[in-house]
Amino acid sequence: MLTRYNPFFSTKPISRNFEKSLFDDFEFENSVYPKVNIYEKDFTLIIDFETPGFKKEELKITLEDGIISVEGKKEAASEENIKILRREISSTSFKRSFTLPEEFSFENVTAEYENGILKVKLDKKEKDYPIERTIEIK
Amino acid sequence: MRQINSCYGYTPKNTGNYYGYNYSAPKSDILEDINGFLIQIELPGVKKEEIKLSVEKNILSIAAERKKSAETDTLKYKHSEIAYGTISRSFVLGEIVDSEKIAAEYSDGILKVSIPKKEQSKPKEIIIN
Repeated sequence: MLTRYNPFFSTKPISRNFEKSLFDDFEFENSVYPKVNIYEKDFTLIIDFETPGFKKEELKITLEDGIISVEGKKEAASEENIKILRREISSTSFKRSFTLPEEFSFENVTAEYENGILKVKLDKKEKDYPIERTIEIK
Repeated sequence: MRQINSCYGYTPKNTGNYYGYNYSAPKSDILEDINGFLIQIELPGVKKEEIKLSVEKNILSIAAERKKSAETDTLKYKHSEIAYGTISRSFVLGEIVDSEKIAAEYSDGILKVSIPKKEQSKPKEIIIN
């Protein structure tokens, strides 16, 4: 079967999570990846990263070779004289990357952070990549 | 301190469909020191004004609604992991807690609820004469 290549989704995690619901947490081995929503609005691609507990300064967005990565790293809070009765929020660091489709450019990237949601916006390249093309047969 | 909507010690997933109804419990940490308890609850994407925190008898409840914006339906979704809907979780407070003095603060998607212990419940050092 021919399936369409989805640049937002690598195939490995998919197979591992095949039997899980799409709405379950995305847990790959021991690390928890921040959840994302990816959508398009008026020629802008928006990626929402769910990163509660991270401060703005603790997040880093990098762009390289068509790959956008978001990293977070925070100091674990001091646990001296503290008894942990329940721990569900565990992640102190993460990294999640996406390969961007070619029609989006890295030239105009903006990001904002509010209430634990990091919103990254990328603009579509201007007319560089027509959605439909005809190829001449020789 | 104990939570009432954990199912046999099983950590509730952030979102999902459990027992036939749409149920969504936020991830929480519960910490204790000599002065009291601290509950940290993950509520990303929720505004401070949209969080409802209440104490009734000995039950502390957190409820919030992650609303879809009016334009959500018109957007072209490529991939979606973050769900919308009602979030709620409750915790049972023990006898040693002073529920009148519960305080809360919210920043970067984390709600921190501090619950002090009653003075008479705090450990005391007895001086030996």
